[in-house]
Amino acid sequence: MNNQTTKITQLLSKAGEGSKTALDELLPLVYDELKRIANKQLSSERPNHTLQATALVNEAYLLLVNQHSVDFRNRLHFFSIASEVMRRILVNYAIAKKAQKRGSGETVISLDEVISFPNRQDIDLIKLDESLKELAEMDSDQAKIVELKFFGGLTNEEIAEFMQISISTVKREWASARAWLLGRMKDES
Amino acid sequence: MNSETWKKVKSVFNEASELPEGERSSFLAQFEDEIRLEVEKMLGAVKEESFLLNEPIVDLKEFVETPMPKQIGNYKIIRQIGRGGMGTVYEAFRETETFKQHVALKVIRHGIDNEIILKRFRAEQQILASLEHPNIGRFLDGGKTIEGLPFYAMEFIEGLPIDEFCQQKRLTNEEKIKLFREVCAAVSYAHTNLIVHRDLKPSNIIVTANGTPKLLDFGIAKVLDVNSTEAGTATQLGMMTPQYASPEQIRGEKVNTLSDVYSLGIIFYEILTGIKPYEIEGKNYAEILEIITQTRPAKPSENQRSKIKDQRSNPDLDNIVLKSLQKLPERRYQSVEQFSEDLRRHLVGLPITARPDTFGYRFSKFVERNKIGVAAGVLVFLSLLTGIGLASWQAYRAEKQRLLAEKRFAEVRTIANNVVFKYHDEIAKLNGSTAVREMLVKDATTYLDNLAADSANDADLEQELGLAYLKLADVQGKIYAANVGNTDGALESYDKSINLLEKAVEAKPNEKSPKEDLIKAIDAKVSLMARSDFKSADKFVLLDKSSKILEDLIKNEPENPKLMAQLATLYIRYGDSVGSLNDKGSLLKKLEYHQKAIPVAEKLLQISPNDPGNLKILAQTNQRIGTDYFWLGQNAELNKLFEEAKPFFQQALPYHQKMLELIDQAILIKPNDPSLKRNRIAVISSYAETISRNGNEKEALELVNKALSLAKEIQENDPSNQEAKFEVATIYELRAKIYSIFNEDEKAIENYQKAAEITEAVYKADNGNLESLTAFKASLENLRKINEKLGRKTESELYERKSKELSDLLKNKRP
Repeated sequence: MNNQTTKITQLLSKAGEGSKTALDELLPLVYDELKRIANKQLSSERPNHTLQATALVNEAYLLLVNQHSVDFRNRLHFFSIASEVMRRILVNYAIAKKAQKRGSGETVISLDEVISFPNRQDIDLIKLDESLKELAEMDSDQAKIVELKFFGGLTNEEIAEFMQISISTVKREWASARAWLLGRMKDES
Repeated sequence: MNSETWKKVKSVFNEASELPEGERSSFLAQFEDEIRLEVEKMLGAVKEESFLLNEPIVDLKEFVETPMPKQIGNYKIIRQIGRGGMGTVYEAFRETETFKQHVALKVIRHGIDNEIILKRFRAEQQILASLEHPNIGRFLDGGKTIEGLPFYAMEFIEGLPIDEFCQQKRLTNEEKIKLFREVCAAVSYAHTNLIVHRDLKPSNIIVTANGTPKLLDFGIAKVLDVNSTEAGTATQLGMMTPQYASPEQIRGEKVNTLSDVYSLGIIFYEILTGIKPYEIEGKNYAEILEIITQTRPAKPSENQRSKIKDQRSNPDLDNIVLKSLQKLPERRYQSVEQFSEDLRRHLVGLPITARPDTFGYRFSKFVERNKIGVAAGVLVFLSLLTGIGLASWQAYRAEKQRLLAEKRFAEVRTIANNVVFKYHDEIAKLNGSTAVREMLVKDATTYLDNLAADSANDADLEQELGLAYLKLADVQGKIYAANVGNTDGALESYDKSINLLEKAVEAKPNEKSPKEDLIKAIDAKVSLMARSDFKSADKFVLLDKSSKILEDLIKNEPENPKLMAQLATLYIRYGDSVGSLNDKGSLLKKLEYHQKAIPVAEKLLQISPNDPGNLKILAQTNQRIGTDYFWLGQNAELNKLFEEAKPFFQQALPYHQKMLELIDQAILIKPNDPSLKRNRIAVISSYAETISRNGNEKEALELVNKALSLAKEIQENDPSNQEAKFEVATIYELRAKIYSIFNEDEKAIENYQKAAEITEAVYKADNGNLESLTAFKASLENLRKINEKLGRKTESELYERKSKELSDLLKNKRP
């Protein structure tokens, strides 16, 4: 384990205890780590199979999480943080990619190389992120549900347990949040 | 919107969602605009978007909580190789007592109806496993994990997705087509077995290290598609990759083999251009639907986003791709085989089916296949095209439409290169084409020159331009070949050519072709220098340069015929360049060099005995050696050493005999080659002279008369060919000499006069041709001598005066 990962470990447990600044500090580190791994893989001598790029995220998470997940008393609490980290990573990637398209020169691995979207369908993550911020102002719980579901892959049951609400509430809140977000994203496109 | 309003909107939305669609608007009518409009918008968005925000972008639990299984079914897992929207892929193997099977094992992600999928696997297993084709990754079996997730195993294939492969290997269009046709063959095979792929995309076509494409996941899409029924196989939206989905697929309609044709078309488009035909990134379902079902894709060669630089306009390929991408299935190729067949036809230059069968199109194909026959027509056609091309290049530059301009640039370059290399060479084979060739090459070279000026440091362009100048120089004044008699122009063009080719050699140090071209150019220039600048030391600087390059090349390929031919030619050229004809020492040196060429030329002929080029090289070598002996004899005579002269003349004879045999053999193989015809005349002349020196007047005269009539024929058919005129003069001169040897003085005078007349005219038309001036002077000198011998004082004095003038002129020209 290098210094970087040690630092990440510490920040992760602080964030787990609810430190907002730890999360802010964590993000660029995770981001860099992910990029490092990605570059390493992409330049590796033998590209092996069709889906190799999607394994990047896996590796990053194994690195971050596997040895540290024990530090988290509450598994769902970890997912809550991880979803937020993931959201920021992905949005940053999207921004960097857009900048690259405009020719800023910085080489970034394109988003779909890092993460295989379900059905390879692209979403404008920057717009989604902005809309989600708006939603958080209207209803922060609802925004959290979206984050947990979309950026973390948590099930309705898990979200219900984590947020201490009923499953049917999760479903209902998700449905209206999604509808609003879809409408909002359409607005600006 | 504030939280309060949002709360209200939410509850109205929830209520409305519960209602059947028809009752919603009347329900919403009771609310104030602010609420109603918002809810309507939300309901509309949900209706429009069937898959956006439906599935998580990241499933953290998969990363964190699913440790890699050690075993799945009968397979031992080695490692995870990937994870996608569909599930996880592992490298695994199954071991039995007799064999170890290496597989890729795919576990389907939960969330899809597992039971249906498992049932499907069982139903389809036999069909899928029966697909046996060298380009299809074999389906081995399907089953479920202990967690109940469906999985299937297929042949383990290592390689790159086809798009990456093409990019990494920088395949040419031709190579891409060949590779793609292998893919077509595999799809076609599956189709005859009634299996449609339905999810063809580059990541499903893996090219192995040895260049074999392998198709993965054949038939899997159907199995995984919970919506498909046995009757029809409509595709669920979530199951496909929109970029490669056909209009019928994206609309959720039935899918058949023609959908695969479409997907192959998209893949081929991507391979050709490096980009996808449609830009659907970040678009929602409705937009994607509109793009795929309504918009026409740009022609591959005109797509400005294309990542493949230097993409030349290729109407055939454009039409083939666009036909495969037709929105209506019935307007596409009706089978993958037809698609592939059209690509084959394109490769071999036959008309393709994917375009209207107009006269113009069929004619252009005819021209392509019958270049010589329609050379004249092509000429006009090309000069038009080239003019237009250049004009548009400039126009576009002015408008700073860089991309279009680049394309035009490539077009002009292609046309100019075609003119210089393809059409010129074909036209050169025609008799009497010298003047036309000069115009053609000159124009093309001008275009290339303009292009080179506009694009600095393009090594390929420099090489092309170097070669173009070489061609131009050849037609301006290549020695002993059809030319328009512009020696100074030719020397200048050779210099430009050598200059450019040297740059190309420097820029591409590991490439052979610029080096070979440079050697060729140097050889041509040194040969011509013999005509204009007899003693220049520069010749040796150039020859040594060639020698060094050639040595290096031959070290790596001692048996390469092309290099051997260049080596033999180099020895000949050294021999030609060294010393003078008036000195025994330097003649012996010439002989030494020329003899070095013999073993090389003989070995070359052994490698391919019927190659006219090889025959010619050995003939030339024999000619040089014979002529060296001849001059040794002539030299002895001048020094009154008549006894010494005789054996030299005798020694010349077998060499000249041999050369005539070899040239005749070459002409048998290529009866219509004008350069061989000219060679034959020169050879006959040398032989005639040698024979005359061996005392056989009759045979010598017969030969020289034959040479003269052949030379006149060429000259009359190609009036602008100055070289042919000069050759006629040389033969008159020779005939005069023979008459003079046998004391037929009147006839000798007559022939000398004819020779002088022609050489004077040739020189006047081409002031750089000092060889012609020298020949003119020699004829006058001979006329003086013979008149003196006959005691005709007035005449001899006249010729002496004229000859003196020419001597002074020559001294001025060549101090």
